[in-house]
Amino acid sequence: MQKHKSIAFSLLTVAAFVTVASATASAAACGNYTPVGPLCERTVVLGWGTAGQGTESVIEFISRPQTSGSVTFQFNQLSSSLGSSYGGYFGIVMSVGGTPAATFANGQIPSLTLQPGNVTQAVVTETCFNASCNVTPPAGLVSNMFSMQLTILAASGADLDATPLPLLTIQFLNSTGAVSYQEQEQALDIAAIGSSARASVNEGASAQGRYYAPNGAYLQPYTAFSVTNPSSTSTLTASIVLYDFTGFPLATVPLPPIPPLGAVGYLLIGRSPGDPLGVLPFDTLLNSGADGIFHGVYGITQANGPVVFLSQEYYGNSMLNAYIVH
Amino acid sequence: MKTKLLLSLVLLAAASIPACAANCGSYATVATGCARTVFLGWGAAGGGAQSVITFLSSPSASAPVTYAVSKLSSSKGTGYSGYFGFNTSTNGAPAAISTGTAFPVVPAPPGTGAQVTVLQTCFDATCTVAPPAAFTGPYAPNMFSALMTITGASGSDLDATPLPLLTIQFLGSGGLVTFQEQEQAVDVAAIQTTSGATLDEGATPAGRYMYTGAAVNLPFTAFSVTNPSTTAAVTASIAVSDASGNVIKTVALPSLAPLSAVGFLLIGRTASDASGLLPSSTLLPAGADGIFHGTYSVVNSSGPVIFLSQQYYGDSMLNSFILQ
Repeated sequence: MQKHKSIAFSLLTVAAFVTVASATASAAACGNYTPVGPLCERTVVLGWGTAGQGTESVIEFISRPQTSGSVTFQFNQLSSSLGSSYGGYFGIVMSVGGTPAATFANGQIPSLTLQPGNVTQAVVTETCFNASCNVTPPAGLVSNMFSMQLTILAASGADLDATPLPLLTIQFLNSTGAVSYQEQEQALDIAAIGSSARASVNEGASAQGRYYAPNGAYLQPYTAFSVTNPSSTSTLTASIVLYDFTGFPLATVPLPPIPPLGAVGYLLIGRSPGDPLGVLPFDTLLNSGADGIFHGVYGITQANGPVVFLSQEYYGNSMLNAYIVH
Repeated sequence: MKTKLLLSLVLLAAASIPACAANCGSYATVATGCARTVFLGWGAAGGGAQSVITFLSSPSASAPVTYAVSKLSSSKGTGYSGYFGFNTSTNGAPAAISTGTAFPVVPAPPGTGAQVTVLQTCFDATCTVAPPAAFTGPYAPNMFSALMTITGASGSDLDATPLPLLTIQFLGSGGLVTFQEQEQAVDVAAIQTTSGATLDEGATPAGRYMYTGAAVNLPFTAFSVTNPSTTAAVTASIAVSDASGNVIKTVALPSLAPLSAVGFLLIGRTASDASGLLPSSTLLPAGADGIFHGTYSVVNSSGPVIFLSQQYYGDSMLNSFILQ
C-alpha cells in the first residue's frame, strides 16, 4: 500500500511536472502573444487607409533578418467606413510586390509570407463595391476609406517582437498622378489601443483667416482627423475635446456613434455654414496667439472603448501627419 | 536604551530611502523632484526653415512640469567650441537670442502647454555673423540639437508628461510653409544603436532628381544621424538592403564627434555633390515602377544614434517612421 501510494505520488508528480513544464515552454515561446498551433500570433489594426479619388495607399510589410523563420501576414478583416453596419460587397484593388493589380473582397485577400530579412509592398489603388469594381458606392460612406485587421504569425514571440508592424502610407495624387501629400500610419496592436488620444493643434483662430489660400497655399493651419472603432462587436461613443494652452477645455463635441469597425473623418472646424465635414461650426472663434493662430491640444475623450485617432495639419502647401500622444 | 533609539532612527532613515527612490521610479532624483533627460536630434532654424517645439503637461500631473535646455549643440557638436545660440520666441513673445544654458526654463502647470519657435541658429550673441566655414557639406549651419531635462514632482508625473515634439517647418520665399516634419524627443536611456527605415528611391541616375514642374518624378531620400553622447565619438555606416534582404551597399559615415550630426541625401544629385552619401551614378534594382523598394539602416554603430529619414516624392515630403 505504501509502495502503491509512493508510485501514485510519483506519477502524479511527473504528470504535474510535465503539465507545468510544457505549459511554461509554450508560454515562453510566445511571450505575451497568442499561441496558435506551433506558431505565435498578434492581431493589429490599420485604422484609416484611402484608395481612389486621387489617393492610393502603400502598405509595407517587413520581416527582420534576425527572425528564426518566415513571418506571415493574414488579412482578417477589411472594412469600409461604415464597418459592420454595411453588409454589402466591399473589396479593394491591390497589387503586391509590383504584380498586376487584382480585386479582392473582404476575406479573400491572400496572406503574405516573408522570409527573414524580406520586404514587400502592397499598393491599394481603389475601394470596390462589387467584384468588377464599377458601381457607385452606397450613400453614407467615405467611399475611398478602408481599414484592415491583420494577424501576424511567426515561429516565436521573439520573432513577433522583431517584426515591425505594417506601415501604411497614404499618397494623395494630383491631376497628373504626381504625389502631392504623403502621410504614414503604423499599425497598432489591438491589445495596445487606448480609449483616449491627443495631438497638438494649430488652427486659424477666426473664420476670416481660416481656409484662406491665395495662390493655393493656406495662410493659417487647419486640422483634419479620423477616428476608427477597432472593435468588431461594440459600437463606440466618444467626443472630441479642444483645450487651449492653459489646459482650459474650450469645446467638447460628441461624435456620432461609430459602429463596430466603422470610422469617421472630419475637419476640426467647418469651412462654411452647415459644412457636414466640420465638427465645430465654421464661425468658431478661438483665442489667438500673436501670429493669429490658435495653439492648443485636442483629442478623444469620454470614449467607451478603444479608438484609433489620426490627425493631420494642413499649412501653406504642406500636410503634417501629427504625432499622437496616448 | 539610547543605543536602541539610535538604531531605530537609523532604520527609519534607511527605510525612507526606498520611499524616495520609489517616488521617482526609474528617473533621476534631483533637488526639485524627479528628472528625465531627453534628446531632440535634429532641429533646423534659418536658411528657410524654423522649428516649433511643443511642450505639454498632462492634466493628471500633480504639479507643474519644467523643461530646461541643458545642452544646445550645432551640427559639429563638441567639434565646434565657438559661440552657438538660437533666436527663439516663446508663446508668441518677441524673439530673443540666447545660448542653450541661458534659455529660460519653460514651466507648464498641469494640463497646459507652451510652444517655442526657433527662428535662427546664431554664431555670435547678436546673431549677425556667418557660420564658420566648417559648417558645410553634411554639417548644416542651420541645424541644432538639444539635450533637455524635464523635471516633475514624481516619477508618475514624468510618466504622464508627453515628450517634447519638434516640428520643422520649411518656408517658401513668401514665408509660407511648404513642408513640415515632426520628431518626438527620445529619452536618452532608450536611444538605440541600430535604426532603419523603408526606402523608395529612383533606381537609375537617368530618372532620379527629374522634375515635372516642381514635382519630382521619382522619390528620393534624405536622412540625418545624430550622436547624442556628450563624451564619445560614434562611428557607423549606412546599409541599403533590397526587398529580399540582400545588403547591396554599405557606406561608412564620417566619424561623429560627441553631440554632432550629419545630414545627407542618400544618393548625390551630381558627380560632385557633397550632400550625397552614395554617388550620383548609383544604380539600384528597379521595381516595375522604375523605383527601388527596400530598406536602409544605420549599422555597425559604436554607440547610440538618432536616425531620421525623409522621402521626397512629387510635391510631398514624407517624414518616415523609424524602425528599431
